[in-house]
Amino acid sequence: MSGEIVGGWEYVIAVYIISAIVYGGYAYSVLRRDNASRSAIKETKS
Amino acid sequence: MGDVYRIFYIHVPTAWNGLLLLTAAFLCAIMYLLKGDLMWDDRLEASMEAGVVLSALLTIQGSIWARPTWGVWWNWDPRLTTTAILVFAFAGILALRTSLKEPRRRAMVTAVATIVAAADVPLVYFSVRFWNSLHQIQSSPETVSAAFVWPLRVNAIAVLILMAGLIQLRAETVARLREAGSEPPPLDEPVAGGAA
Repeated sequence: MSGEIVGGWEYVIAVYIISAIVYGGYAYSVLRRDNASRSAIKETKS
Repeated sequence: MGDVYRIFYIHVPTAWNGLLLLTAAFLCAIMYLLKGDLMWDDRLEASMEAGVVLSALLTIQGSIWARPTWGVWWNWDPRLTTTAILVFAFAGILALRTSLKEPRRRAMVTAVATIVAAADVPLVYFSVRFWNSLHQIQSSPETVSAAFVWPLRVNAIAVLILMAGLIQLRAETVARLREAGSEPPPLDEPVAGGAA
C-alpha cells in the first residue's frame, strides 16, 4: 500500500467537462443577455 | 495522490477567483455606500453573479474530488460548510435584488446584505487553519509541489481575464437596463420616459 489513489480518470474527466459547461454556459448567458438588452432598447427607441 | 491531482488545476483557480470576485462585490458595496453612484451597484451585481457561479462550480468540483480521495461526495467539514453558506448567501442576495424594483433602494439593500454576507469570505479562506479540517490547507508555493505552481498561476490568470471581461460586459448590460427602466423593456411597447 503506497497510499496513492489508483485510477480516478473518470473523476478528472467529469470535473473538466462540468467546468467547461459552466464557464462556457455562463459566458454564453452574459453575451445573450447583453444582445437581448441592446435589441430590446433599440426596438423601443425606433 | 495519483491521477486525480489533475483536478487541482481547475479547482484551485476556480476557488481563488470565486473568492476574489465576491471580495470585489464587497468592495463595490463599500464604494456604493461611500459614493452613492449606481455605477458601483452595477459592478456589484456583475461581480457577485460571476462569484456565485464560480463558488457553486467550486463546490461541485470539490465534491467530485472528495469522492475518490475522502470516500464521500460531501462532508460537513468547516471548509465545505462555510463555502456552501457562501454560495447560498450570495445567491439569496441576487434573488432578493429581483424583488426590488426601485434602483436606489435595491442598491442600498444589496450593499448592506453584501457586506454582511462577505464576512463569510475570510471564514472560507481561513477555515482550514481555524478548525481541524479534512480539506488540505490553502494552496500556495509553500504548500504544493513546485511543478504545480506555474500551471496553477497560468490557469488562475486565464480564469481571471475571462471573468474580468464577462463582468465588464455584464455591468454594462445591468447599467443599460437600469437606465431604460428596471426591467428589460417589452419589444412591442415604448419605455415610459425613455432612457434616463
